[in-house]
Amino acid sequence: MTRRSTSTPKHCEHVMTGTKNPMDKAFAAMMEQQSHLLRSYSEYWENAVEAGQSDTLNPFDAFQKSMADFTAAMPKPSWLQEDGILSETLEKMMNPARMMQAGSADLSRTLQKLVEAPELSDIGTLERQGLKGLKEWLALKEAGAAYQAVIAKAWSRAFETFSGEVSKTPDIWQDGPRSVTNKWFATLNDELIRTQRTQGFLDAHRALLRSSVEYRLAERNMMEAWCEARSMPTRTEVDDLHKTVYALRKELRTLKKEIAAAKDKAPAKTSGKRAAKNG
Amino acid sequence: MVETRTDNVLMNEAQDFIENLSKGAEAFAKIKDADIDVGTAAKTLIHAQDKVTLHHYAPLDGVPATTGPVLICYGLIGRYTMIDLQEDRSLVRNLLARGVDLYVVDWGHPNRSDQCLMLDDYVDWYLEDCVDAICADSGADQVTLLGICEGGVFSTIYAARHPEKIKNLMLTITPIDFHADAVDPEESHGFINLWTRNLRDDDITRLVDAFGTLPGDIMSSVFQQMTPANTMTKYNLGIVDAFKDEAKLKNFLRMEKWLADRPNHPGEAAKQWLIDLYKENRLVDGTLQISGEPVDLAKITMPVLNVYAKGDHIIPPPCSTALGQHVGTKDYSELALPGGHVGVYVSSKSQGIVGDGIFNWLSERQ
Repeated sequence: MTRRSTSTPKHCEHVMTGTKNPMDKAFAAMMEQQSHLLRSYSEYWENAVEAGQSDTLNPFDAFQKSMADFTAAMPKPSWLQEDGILSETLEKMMNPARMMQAGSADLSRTLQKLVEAPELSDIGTLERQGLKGLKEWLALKEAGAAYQAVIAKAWSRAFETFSGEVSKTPDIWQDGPRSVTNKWFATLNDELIRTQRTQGFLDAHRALLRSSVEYRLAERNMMEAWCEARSMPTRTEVDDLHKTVYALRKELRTLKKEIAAAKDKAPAKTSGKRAAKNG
Repeated sequence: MVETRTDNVLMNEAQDFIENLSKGAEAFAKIKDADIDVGTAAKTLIHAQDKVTLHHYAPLDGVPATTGPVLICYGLIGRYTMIDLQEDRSLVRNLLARGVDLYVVDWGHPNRSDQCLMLDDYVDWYLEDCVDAICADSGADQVTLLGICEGGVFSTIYAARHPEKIKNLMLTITPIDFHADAVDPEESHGFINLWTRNLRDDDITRLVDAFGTLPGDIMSSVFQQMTPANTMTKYNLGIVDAFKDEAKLKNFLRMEKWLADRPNHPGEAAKQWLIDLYKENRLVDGTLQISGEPVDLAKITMPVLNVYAKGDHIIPPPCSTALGQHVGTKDYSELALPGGHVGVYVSSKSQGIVGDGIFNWLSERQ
């Protein structure tokens, strides 16, 4: 793959050299750090796709760790120190590395949750199903990395746009971090929405969804073979029962409707007799 | 040392942030799950079948009903509780306060055992039985349908198949032409249309076969992707802003509760929803088959009110307004509202507009 330069982007240089206030320097340093982060993030996922796997140690993981250390070291008010869960939650909320995952890893996280199942300790005679499951698992990891690469590039583009805009309006730093943050998220939002409409994104998204489904189905086949060997009901058998019950319920409803309609049409016997007597 | 403007802004923002966090911690210690209640307007169960229930709302504050029966029909993508999120943001209460005789169908929480249920069943089975139950309960011969989103599609199909039972058809944020997103110039609108069209049919059938349903979690992920910045900032910047005010925080938490309550969509019905409608757009070309018969929108001859949101990113406005070209009635009206998809029901601005718009239109057609 082509390695990009790791030197400071021109936009950041402009911000850094054009400022005198200490806070402006801090913002400029942050911009530079973000730029490096996004490049490392993008390169990581591109490498992961090429390597067909994504579990190697990488600069992004190192950045995440440093951010976690940073948020853990932040001074906390006394009420926060007493509450372990709240403190942990806040650390996650304030960790910018975690925020990056939003909008990119949400889908894969959801899919992972959906495909998770108990691990098998003994696959015995199930090697073939096991290999099939492994193949689908690798395909899922590859699709996940390809999807992340599309998103990572979108983040990089958004940051290029953002740093270009703030270099034209250096006074934005004077309005405080919230103003800058809002501008950043607005820029990122536009870029991610634009990316979602590209064929590259749609295809990566489709491949990720499909591979997660295929993995889940392969896993189910493994479980069913295990269940059958032990005379336990399988998912397929239970689904067959659902289909049977559905068909019976539908038939029952139809019969009830037909009986009710027939009763409505039939002449009422008692009133008919009364009518005859009265006549 | 001289303080600069930046220093002051930074200090003020940091101070506000810490104060809001502190308020949030206090609020979370005080607020219980039971306080975050949704869908609380008083109602009585009048019909139940499988997981489906039909309720009749009690008149509000002694306001008697002045209209015929109106059945609210939500879809299977979310829960009906959106229409009664809280007392001051409630379509239900807005309509009850104006004298509408309201019923609501709740489809419950379908699971894998409901995988075979089709759109045919929701329209010709459950909705049909609800309409019959309302007629029996109210003594009326006809019912007005108020369909919402996918529930609007159910209502449209039902009205086309059983026009003799429907007095008026009111739709809100309802997709009719699933390909009309192509003419919406707004880039943030219509991602679901685009996403679904990019899926192959067997992607959808394999997904449904794997889970037995279209999992609510998958749809939630897709919805989250449509508003990426909001998704990223909701649980950090967004919630910290909401900490400022307890009422605002409770509103935030009620929305979260509704979002977390997203049901799974029954499998066969999901295949029809995504393939027949989103991909193949069969409702407007007259090839959608329900119970073995094509659905003909020209058979919708009762008065129709079509309410849509101008900023709806989930159902782009052209997808809704296409209905006017296909119905057989001459009494067709549209009500365009500001805001987005669920904003029609939950935004403070829309409360009076929606209630008045629907009630006034309905009153003229009793």
